[in-house]
Amino acid sequence: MSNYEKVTEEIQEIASKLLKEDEVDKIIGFGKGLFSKEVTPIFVSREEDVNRLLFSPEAEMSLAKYLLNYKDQKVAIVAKPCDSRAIASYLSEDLIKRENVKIIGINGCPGIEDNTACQECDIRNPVIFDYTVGEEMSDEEIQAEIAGFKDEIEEMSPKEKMEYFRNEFERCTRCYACREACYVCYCEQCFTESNQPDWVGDSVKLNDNITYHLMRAMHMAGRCVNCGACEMACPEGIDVRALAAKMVRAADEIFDYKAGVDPEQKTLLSEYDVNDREKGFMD
Amino acid sequence: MSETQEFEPKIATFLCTWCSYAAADLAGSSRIQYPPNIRVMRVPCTGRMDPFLIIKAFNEGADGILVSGCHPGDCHFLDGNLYARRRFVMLNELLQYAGVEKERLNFTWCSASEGKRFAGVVEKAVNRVKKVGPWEGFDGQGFSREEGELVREQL
Amino acid sequence: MILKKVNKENFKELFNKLKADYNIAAPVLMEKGKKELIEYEYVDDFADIIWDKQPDSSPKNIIFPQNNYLGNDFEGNAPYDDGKETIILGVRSCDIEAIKVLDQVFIEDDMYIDENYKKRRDKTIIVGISCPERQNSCFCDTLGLDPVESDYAPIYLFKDGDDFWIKVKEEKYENLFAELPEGDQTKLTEILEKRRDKFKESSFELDIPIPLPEKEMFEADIWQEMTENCLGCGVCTYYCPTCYCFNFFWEGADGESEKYKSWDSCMFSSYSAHASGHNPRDGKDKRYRNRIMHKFSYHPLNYEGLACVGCGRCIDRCPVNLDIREALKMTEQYLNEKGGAESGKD
Repeated sequence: MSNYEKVTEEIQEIASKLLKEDEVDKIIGFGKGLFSKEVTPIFVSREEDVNRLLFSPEAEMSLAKYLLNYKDQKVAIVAKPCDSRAIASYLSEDLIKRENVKIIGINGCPGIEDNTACQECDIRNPVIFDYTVGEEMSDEEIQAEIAGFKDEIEEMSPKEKMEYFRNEFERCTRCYACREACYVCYCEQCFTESNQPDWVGDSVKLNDNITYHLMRAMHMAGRCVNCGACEMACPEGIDVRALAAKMVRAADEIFDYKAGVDPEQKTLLSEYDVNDREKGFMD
Repeated sequence: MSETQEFEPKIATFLCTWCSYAAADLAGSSRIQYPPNIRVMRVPCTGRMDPFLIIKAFNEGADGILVSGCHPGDCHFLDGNLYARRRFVMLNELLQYAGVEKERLNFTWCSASEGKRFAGVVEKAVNRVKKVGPWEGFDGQGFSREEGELVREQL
Repeated sequence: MILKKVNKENFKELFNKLKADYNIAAPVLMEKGKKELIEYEYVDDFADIIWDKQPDSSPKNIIFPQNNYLGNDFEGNAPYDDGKETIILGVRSCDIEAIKVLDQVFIEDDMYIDENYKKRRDKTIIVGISCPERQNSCFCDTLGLDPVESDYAPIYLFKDGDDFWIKVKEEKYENLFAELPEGDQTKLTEILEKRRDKFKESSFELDIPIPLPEKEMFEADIWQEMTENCLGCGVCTYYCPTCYCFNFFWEGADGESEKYKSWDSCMFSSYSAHASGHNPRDGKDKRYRNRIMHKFSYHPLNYEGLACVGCGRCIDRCPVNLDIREALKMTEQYLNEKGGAESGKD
């Protein structure tokens, strides 16, 4: 697709300029592996490596998470719109400094192959950026892209929903790739490692798997940006995103809240409004 | 085989110390009758309610849950229940999406003087859970019930 | 040693006969959500078996299960059902070598025998299969393995079109194949020579001392750069055929508890965490260093051969496509720059 190629060219230009003018130490972006030809996150610090940078339908990883490893260094990052939301979220939680990061935002993101999150993404232009590549997408174009999306799980009966999730999480091997790929999960000690109280067991039995995913989704409430990195990272092809995506939609419908659209916003559950709806309560 | 017994649900109940627990106490001292199916756990405030506690209650065999706190605006700690309110809404959405029947999840507010109301709330919650039957666990393996003991069948 | 040759139809009959007395596991196509992967599963239907593609995961889960129920008698003796032996059909050289690594660790040393592993392993018969060509990301030949034939499996298959050549190396299995027609050794040798030609062009040249010199590599400064994009998740260790770290846990209620053995991973940060809070491997680079050193230095120091078999599963399954070949190349460059370091054997 010429869109991806054009974006690749522009990224390389900007990266080259940033390194030449010594504005950043490293550029975090996508590139092909040296032996496997698969797309992998690369960290470019020399000018001669700049032409390894690219953007393609296989660029499925969430790069924003790597910023947490470079908190005190000056870096540039190639950010899909969902990555830019993740960065805005980090800024709102005071995890990184704005002056340390140069954001190369991808306008009119054409989406990642096989990523179901892209089918319902309505933020196709970066929310925060220093440079942009590609062409901006207008609101009408965005609405047209996501017009056909329907959440099939919502239509099921409770029994069917249970069956669906049991089926999916049966395969979970508790490798924690979903947790490590997710930009929101940056805790040094995860609740899974907790011994007292012992929230979830270490086995791969179905009950423990479902409990783990439910609990993790609860931590995503109001913080997930629906990037789909969890689903892409899963080696067993499990629909990991479903529960957290429901949290995203619920936050939007009930509280009119979207995570990561403003570096100044507070997280959903760290605030309240005296007029909050009590959806689902008794009486 | 003895006559079939009606299903008696076990409802894990979380009551805030200052309002709802006092309401339960009032119901008791006023000798108001209400179903004995609730298993009460006292928390200082509903704001302390970690959503994980509710998920864990389901894993331990509770057929339903009931959470009750001070009315919004009247919280003993000023705004604990206002934070809790948002948390419960999100947890509700999540658990219903995962296939837990909405009748099992009961959230409400009960002030310290509302003993009668508390009894009514318990009655309502118990009837709701009775309608949907025993909780089979997230994995569908069930919990065997013998002599009032809840025992997880080991694989 | 006997050599037999059958066509697909007859092999199917043999399969159906063996099915009665043995549990048979073989590579089959599994639908996993959006992905379609080839994995080892117990099979009933010969037609389901995939012969010509490298399976996406190894048969490790069959002899070393991820969730191993060990019973409640505190001796750790697992109850085994049905008493049948298991045949794992179609194991490639890389996976056979990996089973050898697991055997070295769990049973070959007379002092430390893992009873649980031994019980399961004694009832398992490995039937190898020769690789027709290089596939996916494999580089077993770079590490000295022979993808065309492996010595460690007691029974070995060579598939050529619809013909199956069966080489039985151990006497005790000969009666299973006694009634089949003989195969011509010279013809087989011809086929295998053509096959070896396909592998001549190596995808990946590597020249490192084995075992890797421990002190130099431990203090090297290349690990940070190597693991910049690593997530620290643990997928590589779960799908690696030689990774064998395990954990015990007990489950139960009031008086009765049952013991389980499950997989653990050195890539989890809690793996080396001490109760005091100190963690000697508190960064991804240190944990990855430990993984590489285990496979290329510590294991060959204590046993024979590497603990990496070049199967490429870690490369294919890694969520960020981190490539162990790049890591090895960086190691090679580092050691060359230091003036061709000596092997760590002394």
